[in-house]
Amino acid sequence: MQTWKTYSPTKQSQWNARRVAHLHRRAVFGLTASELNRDVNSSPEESVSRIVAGEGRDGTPAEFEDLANVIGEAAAGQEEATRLKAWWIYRILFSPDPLTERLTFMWHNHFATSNGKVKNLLQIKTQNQTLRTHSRGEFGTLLNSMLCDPALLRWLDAPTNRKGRPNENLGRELLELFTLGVGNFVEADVKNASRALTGLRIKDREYHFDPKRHDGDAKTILGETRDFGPDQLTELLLSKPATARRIADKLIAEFFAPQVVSTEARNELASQLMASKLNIGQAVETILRSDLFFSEANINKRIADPLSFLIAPLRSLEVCDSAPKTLWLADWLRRMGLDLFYPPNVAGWPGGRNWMTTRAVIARSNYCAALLSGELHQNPNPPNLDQLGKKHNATESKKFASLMQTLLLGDEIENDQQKTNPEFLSTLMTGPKIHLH
Amino acid sequence: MPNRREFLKHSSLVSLAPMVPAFLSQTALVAKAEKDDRILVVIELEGGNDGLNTVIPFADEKYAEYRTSLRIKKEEIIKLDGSIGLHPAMKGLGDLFNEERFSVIPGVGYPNPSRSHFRSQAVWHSASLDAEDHIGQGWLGRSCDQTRDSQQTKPDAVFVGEGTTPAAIIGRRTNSIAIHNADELKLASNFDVPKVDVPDDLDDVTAFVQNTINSSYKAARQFAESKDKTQDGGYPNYGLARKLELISRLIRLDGGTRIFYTSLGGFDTHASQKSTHHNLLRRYSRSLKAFLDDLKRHKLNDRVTVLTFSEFGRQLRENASGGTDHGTCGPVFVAGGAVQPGVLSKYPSLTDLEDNEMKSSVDFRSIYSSLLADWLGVDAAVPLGGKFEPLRVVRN
Repeated sequence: MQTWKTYSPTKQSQWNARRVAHLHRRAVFGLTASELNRDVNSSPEESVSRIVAGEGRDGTPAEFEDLANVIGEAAAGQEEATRLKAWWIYRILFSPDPLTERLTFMWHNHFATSNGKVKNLLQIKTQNQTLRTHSRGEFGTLLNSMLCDPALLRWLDAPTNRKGRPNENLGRELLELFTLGVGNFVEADVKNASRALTGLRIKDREYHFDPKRHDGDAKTILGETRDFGPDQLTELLLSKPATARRIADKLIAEFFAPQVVSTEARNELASQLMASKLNIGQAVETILRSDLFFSEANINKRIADPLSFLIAPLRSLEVCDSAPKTLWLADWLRRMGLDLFYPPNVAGWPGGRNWMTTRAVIARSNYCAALLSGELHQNPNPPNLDQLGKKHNATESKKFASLMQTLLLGDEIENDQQKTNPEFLSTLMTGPKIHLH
Repeated sequence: MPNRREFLKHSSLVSLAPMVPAFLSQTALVAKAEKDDRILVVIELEGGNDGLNTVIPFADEKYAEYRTSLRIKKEEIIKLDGSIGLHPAMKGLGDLFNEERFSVIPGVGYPNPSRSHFRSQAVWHSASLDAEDHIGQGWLGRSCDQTRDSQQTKPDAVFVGEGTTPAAIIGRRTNSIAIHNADELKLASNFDVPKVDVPDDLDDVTAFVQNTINSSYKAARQFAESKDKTQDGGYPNYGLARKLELISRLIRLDGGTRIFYTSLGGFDTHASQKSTHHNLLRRYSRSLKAFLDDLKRHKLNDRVTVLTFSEFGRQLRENASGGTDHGTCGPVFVAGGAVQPGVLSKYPSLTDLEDNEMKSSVDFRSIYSSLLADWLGVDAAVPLGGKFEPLRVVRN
């Protein structure tokens, strides 16, 4: 377990504001000055434990789940998806457990289902809730629940796949995208896996298995011959090391900068996953507590995904006492290239450097400008920098600058800046480092 | 020997590529050499355009019998030949027809036509009659799947409009994006482009980001400058015209995208059709004319072909509310400097009918086939799920 040994601070890799900011910016959409202060004066162990337990997040309303449910129910009854997107953004902004929201997004991108085809917001919302419920459990539970999920089934044409009239859409993506990955199966496996998946239907908007449409004959998949049905098929796929490797890759892409994790470390994480029945929560904890996660090579070297870019400065600048307009936030997110519930294709958003298109960079800049001028609120509400400085004992401009650099850029560089606070912030938010986390 | 374009695409020395602020792309990785590629713009007339009153068979006495309150007077029709002509609201396109920049293909449809908007739209988008193939992907998306490079970051297709991205341009891996309007490509405030010299080492992520920001801001400036301020660039003040103007600006800035898609809605004219339809065709005609003239001014005339279609035509006989109900085949238009001129197919008979409606004389997939093979230069059989004898719609 050498490669995944637990981080403990040393002289070379100190537990300091920079690493606290790294943890929060990378894993849970940023941090406030109070969270920073608290965690700097606590241990990495406790800080990670708080995140894993979903505790101690600033600004979470006591009645969060009730409020979110009210918003969500109203949103699912709408014609347009915008309110449902706003609902999810509300959750990400205010949930006491942002790590679960981060993983829910990771799974949304894994089982990338688009309402553009499903055209049923209630089913899309149900899928989102299912992803959330199982986001940190055993991958098999999540996978099996997706194979009974009406939105996913419709998305991949499962209802048209029946005995004698196969539709390979679900079978192919199950093998290629959801489990094994390309190169770990042959075309005949797709054909036979599709046969094993016949009979999955949607009846009265609910999942329904129709034995009459199911092909119960023997079929050979990955060298094994059985009368595979959906459950036996997923059992087989979950037992394959290729699946564990794919899940390891997924988690690594989510929590690490490129090229930080060696093949050896990746394979070891995959072995750990295999040994834990692909327990996602455990693997995430291993990652967040690791030396690798806190290594210099991993700090501020990942392109911030649009969700992190959207949410982190709202939290750091504490403009959420009266909530910004989440409908507008959803539209900003779309302009940054992330249209929630409308992934570009079955493979989801490619991420990484692909986020930085011209159009997205313009959107990111315009978003920062809108944030600083208070235009994200119904009644313009620019961040109150004086109050923020007072609250956190950073009224002196040098101190304020240093605090903002830590929160917004994850940097601790001494700053001897002469600009006014708003000017300084504007410089921070138009430079390159705001795009990295 | 790999050519320069191949070299730039695959070389790890991508930093040798000039920093092209090509719009929409993840700029640092774009190779410039795609400048001369041909472009296809699709305009979808949503709701089912009344083809009979768009391309009018005025010489056929049956026309007057089917259309009473909606009949267009013979003298007002813009004659294309001795027997058919365009609706009088389409004057601009009539002029383009004479200049051989706008061609008409009457009677386009498919066997056993569906009169459901949803079904028929899915047929046109997917290029398949089989409902099982209506999986949210389409002919252009599939054609991009074939040619796409995994390194590529430019969008394969751009949809300009407010709805969701149409299935036609979605593929299994295709990167299609939607832009609502030009504001999304403008920098809200005058950010200073940081005057830092950034090393071209794109492996360094900070340098990559700084490069990308620089080139994006530069591109935003170019985009702002690309707005033709003289008389609004000749575009009328219609939604479709603004969308086409945006497409023109994107083409001029050359991000390497070859497929653009937009739409004009409102053609589902079940009642009081006369003035509604007139206004729709006027908007379509004036917008498309402005677009083509704009392209011509910028010497892009020969690089762009525009396809216009609607999911179905309407019934021959008008209904009792001064409107028309869902029908079958209808005209398709192709426009641009490279189109095969004239009327490219036979107008369907108004007497030899099927289920009381016109029989299509051209399968829409023969037009797709020509656009894919003859225009975009890609294989047509895979995206269309089979071979269709092309109806040649562009010149050699």
